[in-house]
Amino acid sequence: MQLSSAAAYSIIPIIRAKYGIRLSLRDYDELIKLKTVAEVVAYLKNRTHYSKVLKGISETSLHRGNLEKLINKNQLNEILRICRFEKTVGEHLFSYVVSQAEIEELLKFARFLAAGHPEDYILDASHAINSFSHIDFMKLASIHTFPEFFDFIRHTKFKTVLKDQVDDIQSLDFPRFEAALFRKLYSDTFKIINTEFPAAARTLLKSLFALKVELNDILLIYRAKRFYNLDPASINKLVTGIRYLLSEKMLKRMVNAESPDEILKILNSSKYKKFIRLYGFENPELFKNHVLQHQAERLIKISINPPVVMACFIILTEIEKENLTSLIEGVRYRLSQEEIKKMLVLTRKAGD
Amino acid sequence: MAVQSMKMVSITGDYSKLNDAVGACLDTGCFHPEHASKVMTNFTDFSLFAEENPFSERLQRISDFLDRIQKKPRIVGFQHMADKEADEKLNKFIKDLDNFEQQKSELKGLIQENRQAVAQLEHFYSLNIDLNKLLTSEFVKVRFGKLPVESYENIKNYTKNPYVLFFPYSKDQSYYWGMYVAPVSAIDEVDRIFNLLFFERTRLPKDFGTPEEVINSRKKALSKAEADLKALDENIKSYFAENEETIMQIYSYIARRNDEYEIKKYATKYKNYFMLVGWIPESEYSQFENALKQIDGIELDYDNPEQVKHLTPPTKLKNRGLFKYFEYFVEMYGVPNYHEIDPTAIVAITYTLLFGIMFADVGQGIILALVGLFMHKFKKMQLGRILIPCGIASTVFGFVFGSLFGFEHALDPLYHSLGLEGKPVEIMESATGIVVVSIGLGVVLIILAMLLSIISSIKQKNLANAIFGHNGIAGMVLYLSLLLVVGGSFMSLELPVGKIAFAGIVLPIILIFFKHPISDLIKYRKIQIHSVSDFFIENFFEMFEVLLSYLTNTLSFMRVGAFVLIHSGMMMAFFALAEMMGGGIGTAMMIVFGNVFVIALEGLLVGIQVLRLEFYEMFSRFYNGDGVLYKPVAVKAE
Repeated sequence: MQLSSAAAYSIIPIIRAKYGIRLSLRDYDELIKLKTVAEVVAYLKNRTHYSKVLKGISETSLHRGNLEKLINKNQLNEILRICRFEKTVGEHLFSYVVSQAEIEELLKFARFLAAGHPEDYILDASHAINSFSHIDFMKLASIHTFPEFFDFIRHTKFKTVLKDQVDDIQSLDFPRFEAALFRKLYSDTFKIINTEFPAAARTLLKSLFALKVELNDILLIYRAKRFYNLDPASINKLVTGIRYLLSEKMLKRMVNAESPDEILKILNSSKYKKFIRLYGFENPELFKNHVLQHQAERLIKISINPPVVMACFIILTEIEKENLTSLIEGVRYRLSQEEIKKMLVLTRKAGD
Repeated sequence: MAVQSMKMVSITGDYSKLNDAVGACLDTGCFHPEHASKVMTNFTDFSLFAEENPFSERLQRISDFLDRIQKKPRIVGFQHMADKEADEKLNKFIKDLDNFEQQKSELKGLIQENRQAVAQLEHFYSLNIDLNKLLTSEFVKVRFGKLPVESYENIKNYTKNPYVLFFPYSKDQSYYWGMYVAPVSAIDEVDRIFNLLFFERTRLPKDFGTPEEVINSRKKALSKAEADLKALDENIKSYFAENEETIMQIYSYIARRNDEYEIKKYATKYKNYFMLVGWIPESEYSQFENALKQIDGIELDYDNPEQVKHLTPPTKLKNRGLFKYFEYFVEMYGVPNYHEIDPTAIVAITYTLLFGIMFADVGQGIILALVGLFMHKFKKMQLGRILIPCGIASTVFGFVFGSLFGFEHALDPLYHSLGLEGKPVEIMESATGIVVVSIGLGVVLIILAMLLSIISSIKQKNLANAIFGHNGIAGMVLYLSLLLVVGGSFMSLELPVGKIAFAGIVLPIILIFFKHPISDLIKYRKIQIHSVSDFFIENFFEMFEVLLSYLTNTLSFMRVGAFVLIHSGMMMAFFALAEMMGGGIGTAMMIVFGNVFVIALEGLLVGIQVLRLEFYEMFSRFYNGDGVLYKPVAVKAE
């Protein structure tokens, strides 16, 4: 990729301008005071950058799930708009975003299939992904068994994830399937970073994605210990093996840890210590987003590398999307304002 | 250019004559009331008029009513009527209006309902089923509405629930309009599924007939309702037009009665007598006296302002012709007090002059004058009247600088015919000279302001200020001496600097510094200084500010020259852009746009900057503007 063209660099102020209109602390403060999903829709529609995607949508008739779908659609469109502006930078990063959305769609179908009513998938299928993906997800509507599902996957770019899968089985090792899909995603992403981006951008991009993968691994190990009581051998099959702030030795110790508390202890002796001090580790999912937000916000402000700035923007829009999903859930289930606030990853922006 | 002389009149008489006296004051239209209690300083057992005004609420009611029928209130002379009669007539009109509005509201509702029904049904035009039968069926439920295009594609692949079927009747870019049907027992589940698919329901009217038939009948009903509404509007208009005179008579009666009560609040009652006090212009005294003489049992007395020093007479400005228009700017700053100089004429002359210099262009000046004329004649804007002389001044100075719509040499033939080589002043070649001349103009205007300050101080019998004030004689000597020393050094003049410094700078500074103690000594009063240290500190900083203000106020006039250069520079920039257009229509359009842009932007900026020079650099030296505006009582439509 040639980054010498002025157009490639002109994407930076555009991305920063887009980043500038993200939801502010004041918006979140107003949103968590609202009592119904309809009020949330009205606020987003009238006072935020979501007005475009919610235009013409009736506040009262919009279901929570549908609102989340629209927010997803908005996120994809926003990223696509940025990526299309400067194709030399955007094309490869957008393929990462699309692959991630495709994986989520496949996992969604797998859950419906595992639950015994695959027909219902079509009601929950993402409208947004169909416009960007080469995979025809509508075909999943006619699939009723795992072998049929595997056959479907074999005709997609994800065929390699099935190399260990036996065709005639009637169930799916879901964690392994999920881990294999994400391993494939990140291996493709790192391949693109190594081949398509210049050295200066490569280092920062790799560090950003490695941090994301490593945080996912930490979360996975923590959950496996806390909720599923998995043995180290099973956990080892799920982790990606890509390291950033943790050493191999530390990761091994975490996999072999006796309890979730021991994981926290190991993290406290690693380079994650400062993040634990800043954000706490009560909610590992939130911890992951806090750390990612911390790094992405820092880089989006100071980096002069278009691909890095764009990758940060992608990460930050994902976090905003997750924030809104948590907020909508909190409002829907009438949680208190404090409880909702605890579920959000918030940072101050100019004017707050 | 003056403040009109006033007389203070006192009207006394039997309390029963108060209404007549108030009526006469209203009729003359020149009485500016003053609280009588302020002159009854020797009496203690008088009372104020304390009756509640029963007409203020009536006035509000009729004003609201006039608003509702969109009529401007008008005074049609005072025709006496009983209060009850006025109330009854007003109530009847209000009731009639309520009825009309009720009918209008019903018709508007009907129109809205029919329009909505037609708009909704048009999406289902091709459906050939009786709507009433469909929507009132006992065993199946029908839902009409719109489904996003993507959801429609999803539904095609959904096979689990046999009732999840959507029948589209029309389509636009984002939605399919249609319906789904399900048995009563399954409708909740089907509704839930369609809800997940972003289906938005439309509630259709349960009319008899197919959508096409219902649309036709609704359209007919819509046309009829619209015609009825139009007829009703006409009816209302003619009804109130026929009764307009009666309504305005009621308004005039109520407004006058209300004003009478408002004036009575200024009166006092002593035993069985009343006293009403106010100001009238000296020139209208005989007319006022004649009007009051018609009432038996009242007495009229008058005093000059000097005899009632504790009261402030109101100010009525007396300016004629073009000068009168500039009262708008003077009133914006503050009305002069009765003993002050009216600065309107000074403002009129200096404002026009400065504006003309700063916005000098023959063509743009003419345009500005025409715009002013339009604003004055058709929009009744006060600012329009000021723009006319300003535009003319711009035209005059346009000839001096030789600019016509930015064409810097278009007027050359004119100058040649007058025996001149070219334009009198070439702006870009005389930039320094223009700035120096503008500072010189500033010096003249500041000295003029100081002279006015001296005259104003003498008029107000404040000799200390006239002689020792920083805008008085001492200040003027100081300012001129400073100019002489600074100017002399620039021009290398051989001046007796030591003598000038002592007599013209040090001595005036000492006099200004000790103005208050010297003033006390002249008046044979004890020197009033609370603290010597405070006195020196305060006066030191004040003196510093005074000296600084001489410098800043003078340099402030550089903006006059700066705007001459800016004007020329901006037009040059537009001409350069026009040249880049390569001739033809593009060039012409750019020149027209440039002229419009400069007239609008620079006209506004120059207008503000000149006003700033007037208010800050000049008014602050001689003018307080703390007077009370003369407001005679008269029945007016509000």
